[in-house]
Amino acid sequence: MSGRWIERSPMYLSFDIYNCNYCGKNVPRNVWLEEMGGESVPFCSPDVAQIYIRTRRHPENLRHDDAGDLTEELREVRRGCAALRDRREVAESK
Amino acid sequence: MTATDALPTGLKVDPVTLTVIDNYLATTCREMGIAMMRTAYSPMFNESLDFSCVMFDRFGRMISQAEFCPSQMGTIKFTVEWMIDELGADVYKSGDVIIMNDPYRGSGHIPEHTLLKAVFYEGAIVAFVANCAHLAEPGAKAPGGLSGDATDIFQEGLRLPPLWLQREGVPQEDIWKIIFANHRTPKTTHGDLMAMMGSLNVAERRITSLIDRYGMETYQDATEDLMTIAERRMREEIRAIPDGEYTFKDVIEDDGVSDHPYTVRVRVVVDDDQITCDFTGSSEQAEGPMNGTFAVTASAVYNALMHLTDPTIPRNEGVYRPIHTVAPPGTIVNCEFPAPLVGGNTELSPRITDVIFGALANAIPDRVPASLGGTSCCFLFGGEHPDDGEFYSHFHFEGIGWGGRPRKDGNSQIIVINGNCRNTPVEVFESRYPIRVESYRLLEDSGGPGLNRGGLGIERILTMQTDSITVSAIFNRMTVDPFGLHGGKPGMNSGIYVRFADTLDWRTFTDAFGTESPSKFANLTLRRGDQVKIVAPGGGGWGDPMQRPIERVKADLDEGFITPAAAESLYGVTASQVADGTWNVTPAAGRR
Repeated sequence: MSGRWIERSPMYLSFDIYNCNYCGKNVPRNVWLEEMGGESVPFCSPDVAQIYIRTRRHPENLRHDDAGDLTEELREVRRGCAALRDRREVAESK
Repeated sequence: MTATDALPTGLKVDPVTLTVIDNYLATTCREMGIAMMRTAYSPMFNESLDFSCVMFDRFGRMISQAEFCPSQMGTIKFTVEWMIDELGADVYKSGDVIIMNDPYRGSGHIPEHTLLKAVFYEGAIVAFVANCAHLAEPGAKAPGGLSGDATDIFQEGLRLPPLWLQREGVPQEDIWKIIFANHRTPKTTHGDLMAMMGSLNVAERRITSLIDRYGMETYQDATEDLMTIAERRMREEIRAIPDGEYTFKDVIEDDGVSDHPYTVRVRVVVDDDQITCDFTGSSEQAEGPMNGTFAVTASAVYNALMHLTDPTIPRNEGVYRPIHTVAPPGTIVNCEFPAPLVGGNTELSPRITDVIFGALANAIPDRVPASLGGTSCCFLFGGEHPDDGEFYSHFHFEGIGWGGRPRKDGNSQIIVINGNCRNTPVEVFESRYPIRVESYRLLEDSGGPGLNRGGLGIERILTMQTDSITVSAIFNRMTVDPFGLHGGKPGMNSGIYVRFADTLDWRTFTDAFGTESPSKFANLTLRRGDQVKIVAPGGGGWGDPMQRPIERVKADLDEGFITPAAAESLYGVTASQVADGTWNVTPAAGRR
């Protein structure tokens, strides 16, 4: 695993928008940037980045032919997805 | 024994109080809408009802909504999260109103502006109240904002990041001036934004009254319980769908800039009590404005599943928790900045709903309807009004036929599934704009034949009453049929045509003006006496039309919903008219 957390700054002078490369959701603030193929690819969490690396092609976003069971893959994504965390839990954990 | 001793696991508030508070919150959302409808200037608000009103808790979790525009109620979840997260909840002060319309921050498209206000009680934030509304004029290249040939977001209007429209009760005049200077109809924008702010004040007062009556602890426990209940009930609904992976695809026929079709492909994965709609494999993002953002796609997913599950489940954050969306960036279902996208919220959204219906058609055949007409039939116009010299601008959308259902025919002439709006009344066309409605009628044979027939589309003919009027359009389903299910036949396609003054022939806009697309174009000039014909599509049929009971075929003939020729060729009957104008219908030999 090779990456880092960044906090996105409001995009007024540049338009730095980050979508989790697995599910596509816009990540408003805390973004995990995974180094892949010489570029920094955004994800909502390092766990989801690892699932992506194992199951999907970059940059096409298509599944590997041998990616395995999609249902099981999505269970893993749900467990690791920072974007799916309850906002109250997130607020109270700070 | 106390009232809470017998509560379901994890709940803190008794069912009676919960029901009262749930209804109070939903009724407040409705009241917010009524306030906007009655005080706004634009027919987009007071006739079309193209707005939504929603409430959130102090963490930005949706606690209630009312029966407004489904696409907005799905996207506003993302919009409000963004507005809170980008600015930080700690910066909100009592009396602040924040505005935002940026699609790349969660809005559906630029015309839809969201206003957000924090509600304070004893000095602390206890809720956020928000509304989202389609302003009739957002300062785009085309009057009305839906530029059918836009090639980037900058052509689609004035894009606002989260900005203070009002600080601690004081209007921020500089922001208002920027907006007014960029909209063609600033007076209307002013009236509509003031209506939205008034609506937020209504909600603020109601939440304060609710806490006064029940206390802070009960209010917070109740909103938490309501989310828990909604989540449990939605999980039960999903658990009733057989586990599995279901696929379907359909297309957006072109993007207004090229005639390239775009595939929307879904794999619906039902896993016990959770459901994921994975759009991996959909086409790359479009050059023209038919793209959607993640929020638009997720909103359409929510919309489809709300249509297929129990409508009495409280509509709050909990109902969304078991529903997930995968929409790869860079595709038509999740475009990347600065792609144009204004038509995604009107045309892609219903296509997403349709492909989910198609995917689940065999999993839950007793619930899934056939394809609806699937276009908003967006017709926009503007210009200088001949009566007063002021600029006007309007966005008209047309009702369509909805798909035949497992137990009923589809509804006729209803606004598209993502809209839940109303069209522009004839009286408004003729009193506020220099346009005369020559005719407006249900279109026979437009509903897809089926055991349960698709709903009918319509035909409307408009005559221009001024020397110069600028028109634009975004239609879909003009060449790709609204599909039928289980043997049902497709509904009729849409269309938009022009007939120049003193000529006889209806022509496509491509034929008349050389537009790339016949269904998506912007900024064409029509003259006095020119006419536009809008044809709204029908819905797909459900089930084999030869199984349709003969008395229902007769009723369709008597009403003029189908022609005798269609009755014979598609429903296998022989029809003969009797003296009173009704029809005798008998099975055709060997057809049934």
